[in-house]
Amino acid sequence: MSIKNKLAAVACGLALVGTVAAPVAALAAQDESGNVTGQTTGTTNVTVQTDPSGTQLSFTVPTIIPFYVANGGTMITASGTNLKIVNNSVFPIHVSKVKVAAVNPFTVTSTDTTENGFDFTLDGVKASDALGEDGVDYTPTTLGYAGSAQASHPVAVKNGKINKVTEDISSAKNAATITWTLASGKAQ
Amino acid sequence: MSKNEQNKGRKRAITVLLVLLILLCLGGAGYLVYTNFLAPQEDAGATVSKYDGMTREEIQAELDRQARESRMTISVNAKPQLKDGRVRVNVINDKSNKFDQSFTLEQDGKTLYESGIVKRGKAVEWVDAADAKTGEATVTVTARDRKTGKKHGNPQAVQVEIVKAE
Repeated sequence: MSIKNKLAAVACGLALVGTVAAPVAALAAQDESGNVTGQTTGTTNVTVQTDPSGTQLSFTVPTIIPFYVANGGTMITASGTNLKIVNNSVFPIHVSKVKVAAVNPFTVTSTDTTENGFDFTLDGVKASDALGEDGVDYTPTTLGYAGSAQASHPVAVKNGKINKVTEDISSAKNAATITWTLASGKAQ
Repeated sequence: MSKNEQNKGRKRAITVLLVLLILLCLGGAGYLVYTNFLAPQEDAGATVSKYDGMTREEIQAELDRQARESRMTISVNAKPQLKDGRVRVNVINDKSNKFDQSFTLEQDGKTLYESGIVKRGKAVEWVDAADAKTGEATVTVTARDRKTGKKHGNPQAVQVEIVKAE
């Protein structure tokens, strides 16, 4: 059955930890060892070696969470299987915090009268509760070591709702950034 | 030196100064043009999506595809060693990634190091961070478009523990 009403998608960027990436600089600079220093766009070629100490923290995660806005403002996104975080480390890791920041002109809010305002939950954490510089503690989420049954965590993004859309979202617009903090060890 | 020669010398000096001034102005103008119009602008991570005429199943498949294809692997030393003002972050841009990367090292709200582009399959092992100390820090990795160098999506980060090298 075709969906005839106008549909649009709102894309949400995904980020881990509350810092902003550095701006792109102009010229390359290297020290005597060939390591890149300062603000550069140079490329550093360093031989990759296995870390004998077993402290390399590695995980795979989506960088985009796309939303589709249906009639009535309901927002639907990719399934948890496709939004999963996968631990590639030889030790457990956990998600400790999440921070959400809206991208103008959208607002992340639980108020249902705000134009272009929307909200959703991430593993039960309301996005509107995760605003602010430090974000909030995340639902205890431990990912087991690589290859274990618990190494993959499907992120449940649910309860998406957007109010009074006044923006043209016939093509996807970036509406928010979602920043998770990951660290080694099990969630407490 | 005759007056004629002095005049010639003065004219030459003025000409050289004028040329230098013009070159400086051109350089400044070029910089402004580059930074305002030519430098890669940040990619906010928006995805192109026209779902008119698609069934619910098709829309779900498209959303799943977008999320799946945006995946990136982050690899960082969780216990970077500190030695002589340098930190062993060992940031690896896995060869399976579709993006280049760049990263920062921050501690106590201060940026200690900002990298250049780390190509797919490459790594940065040690970085200069004179103000680094033992304790908690954050390594933030940003995906970069391989052709344009533009930031893609949003930064991914890891909480690390800087330790003293043995």
